[in-house]
Amino acid sequence: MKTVLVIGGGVTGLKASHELAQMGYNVSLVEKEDFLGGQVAKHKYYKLAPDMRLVSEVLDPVIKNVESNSNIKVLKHSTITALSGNAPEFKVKIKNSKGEAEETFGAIVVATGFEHFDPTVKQEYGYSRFKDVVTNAEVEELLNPNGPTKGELKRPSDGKIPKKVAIFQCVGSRDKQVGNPYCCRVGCVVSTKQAIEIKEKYPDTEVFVYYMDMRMFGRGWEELYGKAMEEYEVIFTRGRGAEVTLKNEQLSLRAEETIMDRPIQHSVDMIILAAGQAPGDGTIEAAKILGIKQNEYGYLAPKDDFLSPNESSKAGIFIAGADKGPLDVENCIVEGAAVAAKVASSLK
Amino acid sequence: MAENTDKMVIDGVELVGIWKEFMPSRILYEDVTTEFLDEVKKLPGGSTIARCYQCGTCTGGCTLPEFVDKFNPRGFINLVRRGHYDILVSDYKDLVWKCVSCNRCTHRCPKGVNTQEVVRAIAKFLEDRKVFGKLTNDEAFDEIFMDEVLTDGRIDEVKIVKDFYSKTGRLKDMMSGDQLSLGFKMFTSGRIKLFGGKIKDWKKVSQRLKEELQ
Amino acid sequence: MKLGYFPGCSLKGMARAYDESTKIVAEGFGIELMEVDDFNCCGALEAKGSNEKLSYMLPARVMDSAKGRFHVDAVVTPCNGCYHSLLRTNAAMNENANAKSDVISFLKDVGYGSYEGDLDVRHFLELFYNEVGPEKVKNAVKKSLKGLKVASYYGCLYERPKTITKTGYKSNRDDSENPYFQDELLAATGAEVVKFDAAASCCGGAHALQDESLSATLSATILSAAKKAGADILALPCPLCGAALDIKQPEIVKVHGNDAKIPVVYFTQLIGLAMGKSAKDLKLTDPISNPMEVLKSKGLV
Ligand SMILES: Cc1cc2nc3c(=O)[nH]c(=O)nc-3n(C[C@H](O)[C@H](O)[C@H](O)COP(=O)(O)OP(=O)(O)OC[C@H]3O[C@@H](n4cnc5c(N)ncnc54)[C@H](O)[C@@H]3O)c2cc1C
Ligand code: SF4
Ligand code: SF4
Ligand code: SF4
Ligand code: SF4
Ligand code: SF4
Repeated sequence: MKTVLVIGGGVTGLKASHELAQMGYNVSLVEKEDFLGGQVAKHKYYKLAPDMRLVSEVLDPVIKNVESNSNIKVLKHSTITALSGNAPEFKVKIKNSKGEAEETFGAIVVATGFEHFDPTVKQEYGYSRFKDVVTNAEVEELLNPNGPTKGELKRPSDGKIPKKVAIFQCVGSRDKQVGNPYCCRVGCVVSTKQAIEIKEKYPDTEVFVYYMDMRMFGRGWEELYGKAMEEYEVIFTRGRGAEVTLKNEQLSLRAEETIMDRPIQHSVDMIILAAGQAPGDGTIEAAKILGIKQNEYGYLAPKDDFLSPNESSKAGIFIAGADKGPLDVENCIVEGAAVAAKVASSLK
Repeated sequence: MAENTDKMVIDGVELVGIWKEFMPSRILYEDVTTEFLDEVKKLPGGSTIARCYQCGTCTGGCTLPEFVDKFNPRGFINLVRRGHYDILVSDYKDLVWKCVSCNRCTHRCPKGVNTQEVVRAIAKFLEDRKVFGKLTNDEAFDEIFMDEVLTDGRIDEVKIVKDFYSKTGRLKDMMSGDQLSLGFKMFTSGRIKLFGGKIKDWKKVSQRLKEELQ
Repeated sequence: MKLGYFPGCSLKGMARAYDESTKIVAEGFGIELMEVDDFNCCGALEAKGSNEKLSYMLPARVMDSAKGRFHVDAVVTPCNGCYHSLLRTNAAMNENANAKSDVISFLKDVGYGSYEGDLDVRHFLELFYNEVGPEKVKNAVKKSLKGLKVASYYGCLYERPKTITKTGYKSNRDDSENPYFQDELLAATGAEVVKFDAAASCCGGAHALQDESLSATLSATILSAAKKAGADILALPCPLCGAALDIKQPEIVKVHGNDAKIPVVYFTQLIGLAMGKSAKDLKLTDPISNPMEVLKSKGLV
């Protein structure tokens, strides 16, 4: 059977769909939102680390490849509701505003991605109490010329451009208390990127990053980190943010300057929380319906992390991208291509 | 130490001779031992110490640094973990025990360290090694408190206060004006009274708990 | 829901005003409390510094008794210290199999039941906020506390540490960094609750005797912040904080001056007052810091 169902229209699902279509498969791409592009599109990311490339340069071609390919049927605003049968003849119910219909597929690719961690539970950071404590995803939108502020970093409380910005790393990641002990793997490079974007636009604004470790393992990430320090004079302080309060009506943070062995109190105009990635409800729901294994944090578990990284616990169902764990765009695209190859070889 | 007879000038004064001998070295001669870490781990509340990844969230939000210079829960953990026993004793022994149990640290620690209990365990570790040369106030208080709990099942605050002052040799402070009139006010207002103590089988419970303490 | 009431030692001693006003308030709003009258001390912070197993056994005995003898569904305590000890024991029993089996074998040895670490533990403030709430308090006001400026203080262990209190995770819990349950309840009495940024600061009470001067400094910081915020009186939900801020106040004032002088009461005393209960029943003459004077001057007693 030469039909494949791809669930999730983020970069991973888009890349997988396109590769499969190129190989002659008929692809149905199911996306629950009414747009393609996943989190990157949803939060209007503007530039991508580490090359500061415009998102449009990367995402637009990927989307175009899918939308213009006659082998791909894009079903927006759709979700799957039930699965029966086995490989290579899965019967899947797909639901959208028009109703519910059952279709048959030879293989299924799950690319349902992640969701941003909601920092409300970290009450010490005051995300729900102070307007000017924002998440990194919100900053992506603020920095986008097509976003709500036309690319100006207007702080939510009064629309002023902040003179001092602090960024807290590892919010909701590497944190046992919230149940996410793993590293979000993009927070460090994203914060470094955002710090540079802010400094480029507002050279007089000071940016302070509070971190435990700066994890710069991707291509060009370490170089970007160096650039942030050398060219943009972003101040990196080794100490995890401890609390945010109001002092004389101004946001004030506490952290330990661990290298100096002493706590610091620091007044700033805006605080960005580098909120990590968490397995989204969409991923968890898909896993339940399809009956595939999740790991202890809710991400999709490969059959074997080394030997079959794109196979789920169930034959004929494949997994790829940020639904397996935190991942950057570049590697999501690699994953999309890899899963397509795996599907093709399994359907031969 | 290697001899060095170079000339050196400090604040316009020329020093000649083996000057390195009176300039303390900044190098930390590290002989890492996990002996102390193992010991603290076994003390009450100490079991989570090895989880710490030194992020400083505890110290960043701690109640005390504002009032007690150099108080630093992350730092205490680091010293224990690296086996810097001498530094812990010489520089921090009078600080560690000052923790007021506000629990800001445990509340926020991302690694699930029970920081407040670990800090208490480090203080206890120092107490057990007798670095204070006398019974500390904490030891005295804990002993009196536990003794009272195990004997009566409940505590009587006034008795505890009295026993504490007496055990730490400060009974006369207690007999000074303020404390005494306070006690008087409480007696006359009827607040100090001995309760019935009708806890079911307390003798048996107490016996069993005492065995645990051995 | 059948509620067991665990007063703790302090409420049977120095903080009897809290015990009695809690009962008055509970009764007035139809909360039935069944006193676990054979309670033992929970061991407070001292047991956990002395012996880990013991620090679970003491609270477990109380909860076993509440469950097995009094057959309650939840146990409520007005003391931050007891609240901490009980929650901490449950957390240990649920997360650590050794702790659980230690407790179970202890209870068996002494001929008690088989408590499993599953009793719901509530703080009286949290319970009162959730089960009664500001709206009902407002409707029950007989004597408005209008004109009285109150600083609402919470202490530490009511909201921290979230590893056991589950603040931020459990919907019936207060906000750990910006607690407001008591503020809203007091505002419902007609009193003006002042903005006060030391509401969740530490009073140093745990070291009130062991480290008197530091403890007094921490307490003074809170008392003077309340005064500076314009409060006439400070209200709180814990007998241990009460000991530090009220009973120790004369000594604190001696060192830190009159900036730290402000009457201290339990929040239940103020709610009781608004319900029209008498100062005598509410034991408003008990606090060393003399709340009667300001209450009289405002015409409230
Ligand atoms: C703030 C922030 C900034 C970032 N910036 C960068 C950067 O500069 N450079 C970089 O390389 N990476 C960056 N990343 C990482 C990047 O966002 C991810 O790598 C990428 O979005 C993952 O793509 P994906 O397709 O796997 O998942 P997603 O983007 O999450 O897409 C999944 C799609 O599946 C859909 N879906 C989910 N469940 C279902 C379901 N049950 N049924 C149907 N559809 C479903 C969703 O609606 C979504 O459209 C950033 C991440 C964050 C948090
Ligand atoms: S990538 Fe950076 S911000 Fe994200 S969890 Fe890892 S260290 Fe923290
Ligand atoms: S080498 Fe690279 S990946 Fe490894 S710790 Fe250093 S920065 Fe991180
Ligand atoms: S907050 Fe926890 S992990 Fe961080 S330094 Fe303190 S004890 Fe260690
Ligand atoms: S419990 Fe002790 S170490 Fe922890 S924050 Fe409070 S004072 Fe500091
Ligand atoms: S915490 Fe205090 S009041 Fe509560 S039982 Fe223990 S000693 Fe008594």
